[in-house]
Amino acid sequence: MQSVFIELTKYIFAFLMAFYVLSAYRGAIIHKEEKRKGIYIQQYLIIFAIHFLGYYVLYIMKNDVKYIGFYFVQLIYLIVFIAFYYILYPKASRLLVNNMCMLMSVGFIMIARLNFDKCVKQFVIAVLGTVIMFLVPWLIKSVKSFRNFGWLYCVAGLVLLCAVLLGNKVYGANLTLSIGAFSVQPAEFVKILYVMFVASMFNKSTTFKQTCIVTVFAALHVIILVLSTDLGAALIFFVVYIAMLYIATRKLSYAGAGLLAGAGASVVAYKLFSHVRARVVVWRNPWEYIDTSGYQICQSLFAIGMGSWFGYGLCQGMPDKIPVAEKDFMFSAITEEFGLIFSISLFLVCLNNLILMMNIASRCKTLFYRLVAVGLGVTYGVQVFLTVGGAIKFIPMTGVTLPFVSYGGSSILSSLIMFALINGMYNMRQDEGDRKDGRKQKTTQTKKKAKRAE
Amino acid sequence: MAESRKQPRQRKKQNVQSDIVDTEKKNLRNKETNVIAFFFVGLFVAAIVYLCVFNIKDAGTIVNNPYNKRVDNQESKVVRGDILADDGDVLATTLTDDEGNETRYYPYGNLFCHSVGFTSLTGMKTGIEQSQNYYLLSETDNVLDQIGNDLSGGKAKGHNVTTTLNVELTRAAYKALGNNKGAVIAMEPSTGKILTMVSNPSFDANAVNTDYEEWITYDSADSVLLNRATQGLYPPGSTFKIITALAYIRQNQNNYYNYSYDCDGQAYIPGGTTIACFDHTAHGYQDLRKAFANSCNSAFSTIGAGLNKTSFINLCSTFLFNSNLPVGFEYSKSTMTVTQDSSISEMQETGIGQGRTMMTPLHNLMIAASVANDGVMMTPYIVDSVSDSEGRMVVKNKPSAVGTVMSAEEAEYLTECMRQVVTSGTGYAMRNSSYEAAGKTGSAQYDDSEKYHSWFTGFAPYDNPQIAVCVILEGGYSGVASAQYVAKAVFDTYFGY
Repeated sequence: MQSVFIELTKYIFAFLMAFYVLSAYRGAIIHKEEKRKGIYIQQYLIIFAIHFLGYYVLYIMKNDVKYIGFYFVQLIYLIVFIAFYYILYPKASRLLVNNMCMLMSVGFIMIARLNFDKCVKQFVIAVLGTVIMFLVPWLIKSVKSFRNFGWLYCVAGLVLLCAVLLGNKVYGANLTLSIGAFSVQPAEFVKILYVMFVASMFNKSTTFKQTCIVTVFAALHVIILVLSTDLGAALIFFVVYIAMLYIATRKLSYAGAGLLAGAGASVVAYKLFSHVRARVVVWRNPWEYIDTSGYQICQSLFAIGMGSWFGYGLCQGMPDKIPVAEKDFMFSAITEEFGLIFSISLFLVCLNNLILMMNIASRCKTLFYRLVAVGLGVTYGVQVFLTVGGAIKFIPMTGVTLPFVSYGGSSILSSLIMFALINGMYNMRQDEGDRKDGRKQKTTQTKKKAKRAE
Repeated sequence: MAESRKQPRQRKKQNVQSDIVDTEKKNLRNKETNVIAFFFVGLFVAAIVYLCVFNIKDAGTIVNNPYNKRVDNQESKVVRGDILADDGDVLATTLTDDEGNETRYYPYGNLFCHSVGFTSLTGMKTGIEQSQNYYLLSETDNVLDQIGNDLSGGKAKGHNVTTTLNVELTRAAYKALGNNKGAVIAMEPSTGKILTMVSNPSFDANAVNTDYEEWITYDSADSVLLNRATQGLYPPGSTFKIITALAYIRQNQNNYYNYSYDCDGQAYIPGGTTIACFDHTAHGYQDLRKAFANSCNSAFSTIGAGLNKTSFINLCSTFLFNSNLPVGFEYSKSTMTVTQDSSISEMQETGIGQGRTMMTPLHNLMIAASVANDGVMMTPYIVDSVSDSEGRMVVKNKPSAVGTVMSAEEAEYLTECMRQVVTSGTGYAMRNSSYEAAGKTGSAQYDDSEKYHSWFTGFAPYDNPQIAVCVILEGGYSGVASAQYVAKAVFDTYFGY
């Protein structure tokens, strides 16, 4: 009877996740907070159900009590996480918070399934990140001068990236810095600095001259990243810049020109750097290089192809056959055991996050906040697309992680901070903006517009 | 400017449409964030569509790969399916005893040891057992049945693979080879269906779990594991004259039928070397067809020396020398080393199939079959179809052409040449058979010794080819006069003797 239940769980997982996605998108459409209450409850139930089921199956399959203990620790964490958010920032986007919990739960299950010790490590860092996370909105509220430190962000970011470039090598890509016992991936944090830098510069002005200056320094970030073979991050930084430029100038032509320039730059990079060419060659025909550079992607495609719609069931596949499954190929590992219905739903939850963040951005009052929100949102969106697209061979592999789900301390820490920043700003908007203020601002804005139009 | 004028108007519209809670916030709501959101929706949807198409269309073929170790994982859930002959005869099956222990059983023992291959308890697989591993271990595609299997806890039955192999032909070929080292491979020229594929020395596939350790200690010349039909590389000898003749026809399109050569048993070319005919036989005056039928080395080495190297190299690459063959089983690549700088003597030797050219019986068969099939080379295949345990078709392989390697006229001329080999040339074994065969014999020297490999490659009936056969007998063979007699045995069986 028990084994029958274990076999059934994969269908339950797929069903729950699909249902969660439905509720997430319904939540994004309904704007009345009261109407969303039911959705929140549904989401909580599903999150806890999936989390419980996941650890129950792990306990049964691995036959080890430590999974039960770990489950309860995580359960407390999730409850505290949701409760604290609710108490401290009642006006933050709870849909976003729920999505975060959903993604983290799936991540915790899958990492624990692959490597228990790594999951403990991941969990500790997540707790640490959560503490920081609760400070961030408070910081935003109390320190308004964040928007004036543009050059500081820029210099700090560039210094970190250069340190990585000159630093040690891991997996052929120089992506980590070792500080004592910890190895940090600075690029994960430079993402945030970079968004702050671009936002604060464009917040000052968007004249042609200013735009040129910012472009040069943004390009510098990208070039250093390409040189340190971190193509994924380079691409993220590039797209983020285009998006922020577009928001700041409101000119689609700028964005178009930027994309064209990016396409040109990619061709140059392709011609110039062998590591760029290598990625493309493997992408076009990984089967030819199945013994060497194509091994990862081929194993990833096997995992997805074998998983098919419903997967093997948790602990019944062989996701450990994919090298670094817990990082870059988390999506494939999840697809293998949970199936495509589940993993596509997960992918849609990520898209839901992006849509929510764009909604938040559009409601931010000041240009600076809006730019930061868009910048961080796009960072997130591109990262998800790159990691999933790479794992399914839709685009070349770029070696980035799936935020909240993949293993990696720097990754989860920076993701938590990013979401905290966005939610903090969303919370602010609602704190300040009661109806009257909103109306006033609207009229002044419209007047200004009218003037400009003349 | 125009942009900013548009903005307020749009906002007004939204004011009317949406509810109040939002309207107040719409003051700064802008279309830019929507554009970005839609951009990402587009990207994500494209990726999802790609993923679904991948899963529906490509996943089945991609995961059928020896590098995919996950398939073996299925063995705990699925009983390996059967491998069947063209008429449904079982070539490999899994027997389960009362305690649930599974044994892979090969009813024909040695007969299909290379083509069907084996699967060992250590997880090693060869032949069809390897190439179709995924299907053999696949459950039915029906999700409801799958759920049923999951819940019942019993093992599902894997797909059955139907091959193109014929038991009678295989038995005849195996018997005709006797104790000699060599290989027989036959296919349907018009489809590429492989009818039989036998290699000697062979092994009993049922003994793999006990004897494999011993088999791998044999050196390559005695290896039982090597599938000589597809992996054995041999100098083609006179069978290569099909290519040489075609090269000559191409180079002398208007007057090749006027070709004339006076053979005195050997030929010397200044700057080159002396090439002798077999047994130094002086063939006298020869036209191209006669020279081909008599396998006149003097004539063909002279033709070889006169060939335009560029066209010759191109011709050979159309015929897939030095390139991959589009087949779904293990094989060796044939090699042809002629370059622009090749010496005259190398061209002479290459012309008669000596030199440094090496090819597999499979490849030689493909060439003969393309002559039989009006110049269209077909892709050889050994798996006809895959059906699930309920008998529903999962995969049906269709014949596919590699390409047109020669014109129909050229093919017709070469067919006449090959027919003449049988009627009045070196291929006397089938002269009195009721079917009208065509082919080319070959005696290929190797290792500078006096021994030679015996070849036959051909098809029958010559005017309406239904079967093409290629045979190699490795040097030192005994008990059979030459390869053509082995081919005859296969033809005889095929045409019902």
